[in-house]
Amino acid sequence: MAAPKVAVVGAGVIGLSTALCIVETYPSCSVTVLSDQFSPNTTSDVAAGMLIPHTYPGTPIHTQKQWFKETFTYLFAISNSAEASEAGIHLVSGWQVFKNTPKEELPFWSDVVLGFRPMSEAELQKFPQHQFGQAFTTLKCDCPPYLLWLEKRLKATGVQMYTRKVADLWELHSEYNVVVNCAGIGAHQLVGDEKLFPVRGQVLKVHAPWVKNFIRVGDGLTYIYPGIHRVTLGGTRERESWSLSPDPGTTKDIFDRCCSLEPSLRGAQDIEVKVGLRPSRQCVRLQKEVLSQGGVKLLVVHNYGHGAGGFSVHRGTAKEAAHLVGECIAALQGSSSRAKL
Amino acid sequence: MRVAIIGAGVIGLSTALCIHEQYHSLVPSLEMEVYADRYTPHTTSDGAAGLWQPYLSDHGNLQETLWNKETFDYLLGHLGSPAAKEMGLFLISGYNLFTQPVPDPSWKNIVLGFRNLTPKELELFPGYSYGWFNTALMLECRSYLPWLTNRLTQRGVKFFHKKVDSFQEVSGDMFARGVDVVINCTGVRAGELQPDPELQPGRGQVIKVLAPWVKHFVITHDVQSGIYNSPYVIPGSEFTVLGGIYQHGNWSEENSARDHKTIWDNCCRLLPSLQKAKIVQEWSGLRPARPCVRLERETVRQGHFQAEVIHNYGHGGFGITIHWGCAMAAARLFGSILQEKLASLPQPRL
Repeated sequence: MAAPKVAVVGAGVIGLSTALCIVETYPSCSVTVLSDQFSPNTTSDVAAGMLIPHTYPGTPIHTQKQWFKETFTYLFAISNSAEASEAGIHLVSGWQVFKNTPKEELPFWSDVVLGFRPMSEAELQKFPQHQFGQAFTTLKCDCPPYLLWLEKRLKATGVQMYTRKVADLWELHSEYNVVVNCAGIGAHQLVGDEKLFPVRGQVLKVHAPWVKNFIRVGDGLTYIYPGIHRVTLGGTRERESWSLSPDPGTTKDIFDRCCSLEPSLRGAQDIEVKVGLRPSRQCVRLQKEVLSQGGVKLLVVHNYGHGAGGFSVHRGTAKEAAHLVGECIAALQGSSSRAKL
Repeated sequence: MRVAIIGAGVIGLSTALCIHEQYHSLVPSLEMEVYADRYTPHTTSDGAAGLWQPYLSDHGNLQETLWNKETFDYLLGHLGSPAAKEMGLFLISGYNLFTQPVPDPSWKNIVLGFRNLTPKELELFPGYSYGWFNTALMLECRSYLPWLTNRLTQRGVKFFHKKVDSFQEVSGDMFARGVDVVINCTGVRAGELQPDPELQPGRGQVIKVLAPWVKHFVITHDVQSGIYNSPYVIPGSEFTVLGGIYQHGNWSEENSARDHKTIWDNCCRLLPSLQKAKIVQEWSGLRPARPCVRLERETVRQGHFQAEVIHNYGHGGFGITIHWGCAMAAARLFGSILQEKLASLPQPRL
């Protein structure tokens, strides 16, 4: 068999990081990225990129923790290197505050982030309506820089990237041996996944460079995440809303909620409003599938449905997807001995 | 009543404001003037990054620890106010790093969330085996000094661009009516007004860079080299300050190429991401170092002139950290001068 040809559909953080993992693990593969959108127009570009995991009800906790740990370790090394600024990766400390003490005081990821501990009384005084809080240090992936950095690394290994709207995975069966589906919210239409639904998020990206700490309310609806050049203020969680148009009433609401947490934001400048549709699902769809049509087979690896937690687990799921791609290629090469890739 | 403040750094301007706020209503005739040969952005205060952090040990000087606390609490109280941004005031978290365990500092309960570093955090800083994490405050003088100046101008305080060579100059006969109280906030050059062998320059040099991805301060300590002679990185609202120079007795305000290399190499080793930072400016300044802050009254006489002087100088590398506590103490000294003047006159003309 000639060099296996792999198509990755989707160029958000999941598509690009999966493509990179495939190329790193199986250098003899020819990998092509196909997407109708590239940075700065992907869902990932709207997200703040904070490494604070979302909990998937349908995935075992130890798996989610493994994905998060792998992602955190990978980005931690980049943040402490000369590449950090180009990759858009940096450490950020802050607080997660709760109006009432949560049932679960120790989230599963508390020992993966740095310095996790309950907030002191003195710290809580800064958040008068909140009774409980946690302080920790985590990482942030700024987009577009992170996506552009991934694209640069992919190009350096010879990966081709094309703007192309794939309407049906079968379009690709004659050109590619394996198709990796990282279409995010696009998978709803692409593979007809009814279990995938959008959770609309509107955010503001503002200029407020004196804000150095993050603040997040435990319910996940209100947050202030300082990035390299902009601070992301959020947000909303609107299930089943497909609208990508910013809503002015929502903008005011987000701004007011964030200013009540951090009054100095009243002085923020250059407010930019963005909307993204979180590709939400009970669990991340990370599995192989063999599609059949008229005697022809198409090997697919799905890696989508990361909802609100894409950045937090991206590297972990990318590695697992790459491993599944390896299994597909081995199956294709049909040898009983270990496939030499 | 005429009050002259000499010096327009953080100490001079904050002392002026503190006194004016507290006594203007009691002394309707209060006329306040500021004299300085350097104003923002050319003062020593302007070169400082602006991080609130005292030295590691107060050497038993509890008075200074109290003034530090007073300053922190005062600033913390202003954090939520609309003035905070204009003042250049904001919260910042960060790291203090050591090569060996050290006792907790006097200020551990003043700052927020003080704790030791975990082993994983120490992995970020090879060569350092112990450290602290806490949240403190930044007060950037390039904003704070103009803010103080505006408040003072609104209150009718007058500013003069003038080098004062002696206390007599402001208090003596060269003015139609002499100044009653002089507040000496002349920092490192206080010795020119009155010799003070305990006051020495603690020369520092810093490189200002663009590194907006750095969100924490990182201050290293080397017990052998002494305070500020070990690299530090302090991110501001626009620029990040790289430093780590403290040369006792060196009066040079010229940037040194050797110090530049020391700072740059050490800071890039500490935070490798800084290698891509763009250098914007280099600056040298003289910390007004003294074994303790000189904050006291003195009656200065020469011939038939006399004036009450309040000294408030010698804040070393912690001027911003301690400024408000000292301003309040200076205001109390002013209050006692006022009381004496009221007591001594049958019909007080103030």
